[in-house]
Amino acid sequence: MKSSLYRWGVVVVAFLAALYVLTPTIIDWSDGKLDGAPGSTDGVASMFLKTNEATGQVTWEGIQPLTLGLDLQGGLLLQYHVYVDRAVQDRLTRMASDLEERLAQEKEGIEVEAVHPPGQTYIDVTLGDAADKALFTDDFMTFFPSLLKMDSGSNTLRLEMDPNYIEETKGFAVTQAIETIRSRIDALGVAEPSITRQGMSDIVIQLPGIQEENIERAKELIGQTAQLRFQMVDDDGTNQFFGQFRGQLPEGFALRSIDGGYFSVTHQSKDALKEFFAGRAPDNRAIGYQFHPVYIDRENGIIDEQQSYWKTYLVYREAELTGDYIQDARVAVDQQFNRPYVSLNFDAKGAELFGATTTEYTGQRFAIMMDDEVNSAPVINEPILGGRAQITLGSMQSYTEIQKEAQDLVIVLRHGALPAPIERQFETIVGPTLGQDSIDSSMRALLVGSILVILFMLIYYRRSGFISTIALTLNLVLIMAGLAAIGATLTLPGIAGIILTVGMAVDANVIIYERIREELVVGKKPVRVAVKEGFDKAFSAVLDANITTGIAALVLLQYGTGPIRGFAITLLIGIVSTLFTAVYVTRILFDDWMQRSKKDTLSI
Amino acid sequence: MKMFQIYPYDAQNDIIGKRKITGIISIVLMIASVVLLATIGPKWGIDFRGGTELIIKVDPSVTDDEVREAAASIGLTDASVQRYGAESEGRFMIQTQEVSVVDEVKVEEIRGALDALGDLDAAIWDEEQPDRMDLRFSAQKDTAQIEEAIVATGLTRVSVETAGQAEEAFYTVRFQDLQNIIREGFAQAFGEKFTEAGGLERLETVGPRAGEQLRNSGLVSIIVALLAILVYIWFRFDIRYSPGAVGALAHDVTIALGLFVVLQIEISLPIIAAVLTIIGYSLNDTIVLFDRIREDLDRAGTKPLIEVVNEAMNETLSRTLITSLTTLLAVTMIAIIGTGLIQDFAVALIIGIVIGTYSSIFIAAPLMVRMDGYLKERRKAQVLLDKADADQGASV
Repeated sequence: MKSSLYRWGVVVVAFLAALYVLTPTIIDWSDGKLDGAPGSTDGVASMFLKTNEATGQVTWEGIQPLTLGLDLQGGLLLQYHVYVDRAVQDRLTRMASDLEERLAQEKEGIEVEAVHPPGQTYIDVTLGDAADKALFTDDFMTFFPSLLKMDSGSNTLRLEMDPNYIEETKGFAVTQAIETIRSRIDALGVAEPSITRQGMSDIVIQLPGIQEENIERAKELIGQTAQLRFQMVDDDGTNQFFGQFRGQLPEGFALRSIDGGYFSVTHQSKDALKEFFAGRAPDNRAIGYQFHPVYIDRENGIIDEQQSYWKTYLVYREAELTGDYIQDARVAVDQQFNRPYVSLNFDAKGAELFGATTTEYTGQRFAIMMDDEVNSAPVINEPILGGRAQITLGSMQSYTEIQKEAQDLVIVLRHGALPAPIERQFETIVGPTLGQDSIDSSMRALLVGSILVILFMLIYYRRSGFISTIALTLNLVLIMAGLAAIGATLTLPGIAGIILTVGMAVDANVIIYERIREELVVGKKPVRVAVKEGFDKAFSAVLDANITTGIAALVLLQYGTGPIRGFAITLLIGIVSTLFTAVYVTRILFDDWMQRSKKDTLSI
Repeated sequence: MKMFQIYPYDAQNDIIGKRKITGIISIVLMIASVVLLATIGPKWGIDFRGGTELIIKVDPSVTDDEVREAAASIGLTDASVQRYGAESEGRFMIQTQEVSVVDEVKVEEIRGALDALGDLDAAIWDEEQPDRMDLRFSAQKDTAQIEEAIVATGLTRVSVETAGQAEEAFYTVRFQDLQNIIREGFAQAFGEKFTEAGGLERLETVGPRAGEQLRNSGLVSIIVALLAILVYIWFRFDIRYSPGAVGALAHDVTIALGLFVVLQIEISLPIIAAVLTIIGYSLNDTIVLFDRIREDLDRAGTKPLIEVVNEAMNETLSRTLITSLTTLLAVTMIAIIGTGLIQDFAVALIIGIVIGTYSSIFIAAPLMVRMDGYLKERRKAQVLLDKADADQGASV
């Protein structure tokens, strides 16, 4: 029969497609582990694999194998909250100083103060001369499109930030934080990290299969907000400032002359120095600290701990330039000393600023600082206009340590500091053995449960029960294929979802069979009519039941978090494949059976 | 024709006639559940109340008490320790309310100690950033002195650094990460019995803010799901069916939550998933029954609704019983074989299946009959009112 052939065709195509999609998973599993690394790369496997000629690395091409979730594979799950309000506040503070600057450009000698009260979303501008309010023309305001002019006192003006822009800034802060974290994680080399937004301002990071020794490093890299600053050293004030302590320094402190004639107060401990200088730095100046190693054996890098000391610099508090302007950073090796260092490239604006600074302060020292530590304080010999700079790292460590430190610094520099502070909220570490045990026990449960259900169906419905068993098996294959096709990860709640789907698929068959039986027993209808009516009348019940469960699953998908979403996705895929197998495929099998069977009875 | 039958296909039992008794039982159970929820309250899991949960794998020779002692020695004084899985596995689950080394009580103690140093303006601590504390003094202090004062309150691994501008006496205190302390603490307590056996297998920390957020989104998802289903049934069937379906679901969720309190099952994210599955399952049953009622009503003629409903119940009962049985079979296996999380999930499902099956027959259908009666009464009353209005209008 033609229509029967067509219907069988649909089933066969679905089955073959499912098998095809599942092939990578089967290849992956051929070595007993679903870990993304195939057991062999020959034969069929070569169709789905791509080998990188240069590195010999094997990657999947096209269809991916099913991956296991964190709870099954082991790994690290982190959730961070992004303090998006801080990004808005920072933006406003920066705008306030921009505003003053731009007004000074408009009118020289203008008396103006732009203040951004903390926690508020506006800037208050106070003018010395009320007539200067005229400067805030529409044309001028185009420089600050996100600020709305509000009316206020005679010589004051309130500029409110556009609510849309606030939302945009917040959203941007989260997106940027995700990007920043992603690039830092990528540098860590974890396979298949997943970094996703959760709700309005949270970020969920999943690092499956991460090594335990890497967990701390990952957390450190993610949370790092280190910012590089370029601050000028106060060459003129240095000697006078440090010189005033001559003869008054406590035990352990010393006044030395460094960098060819500049004074510096030194001590073995940085903490002692910090304590000493607390509150002593003059206005607009800050103290920078730098470690000065003294070697016993320079060749092997052995430091004399007794002789080495920390030295101090008097630097301007304000930074000429920050790490924000860095376009690229990389690790390079100093050929002369065979030591890794970090090489920096500024972006156009940064290069311009750097050029201007080095031009203005030629002959003076400037400090490259991370927090309060001076990385280096070279003298500017000539204006540096190309926008390139170098950072050398602490000399007390071994080559590999410096190399690692340089790499970490590069990661932070290259991707910038985070746009807003983040705070860890949620952390889960799952060891690999617990994951394996979970898989084993839930798989066993799935197997035993399915066998019991199948046994029941075979005993209760006999031959018809056999048909459901075929449909059920196909259903499981299709669900797995569906999961593999959308690149879902298999989690523990996901397996629970599959178990539930199996239950629902059996239910669909039970509804149909009970209806057929009823038509036979109560309706006393002939076998073929009973089968037809059974299917037809049961259909609406099966459909409605699956759709309502589908609604619940959709809601879960929308509002649920990590593990619950996994459950919802499996359930949704399961509903579709259940409707296909339990109704469509079962029907075909029944019709086929009816055609062959000459008897007037039904094994149901 | 030979076939097994769980329930005869031509049965004519008066099922709906039992609705008074079952109604009373359900109301009593629901009130009991609400009372339990209001008084004892559900046992919130780590996901929702915030805290730290860890699973460690140690040498099987280690006893519960030893783990308890070790936990106490680390400083997890409120820790609950229980075996996780079989004895031979040597797994323990430890739960504590703490997400960091300091909590509000500890902070008060630290404040007191710092006050004793004099000149303390402020000691700011926020539970969202539990591993740091910001101090402001009105005069310069020695960081070592501050550290000493804090260590004296019983904390170890504290670091103090100066913060803010140089002339200000601002200090930041950092407490070491709880997770490091836990990991190192157990490694120290059990030595090779910890490191060789597997050590820390799972560690989960949920900040209190995240817990609250999750609790809300869990609640929202249940409510939204209920509403969406209500609308769907209204649209697919008619308004008469909606209160029955939703009433049955509310009944199931309430009693299931009440039972969770009795059985001491922790409400965690997977349990919320289980509750939603219960909703889906119970609804499945209800809809199969409603579908049959709708079908029977179409050819019922003038037969009273209550009889039609009873007929539909008899017709669908065998299916309902078989489905519940097969699903229970599968889920019971999970409850027996599965471990931990998935086991709790299965127990929640078993509860849900039993209640769900019961409610679709004894709650959903009777409510539907009631709603029908109410609508008919209202229509009758409206007709009478209209008639009275018309009469009055005529007389004026």
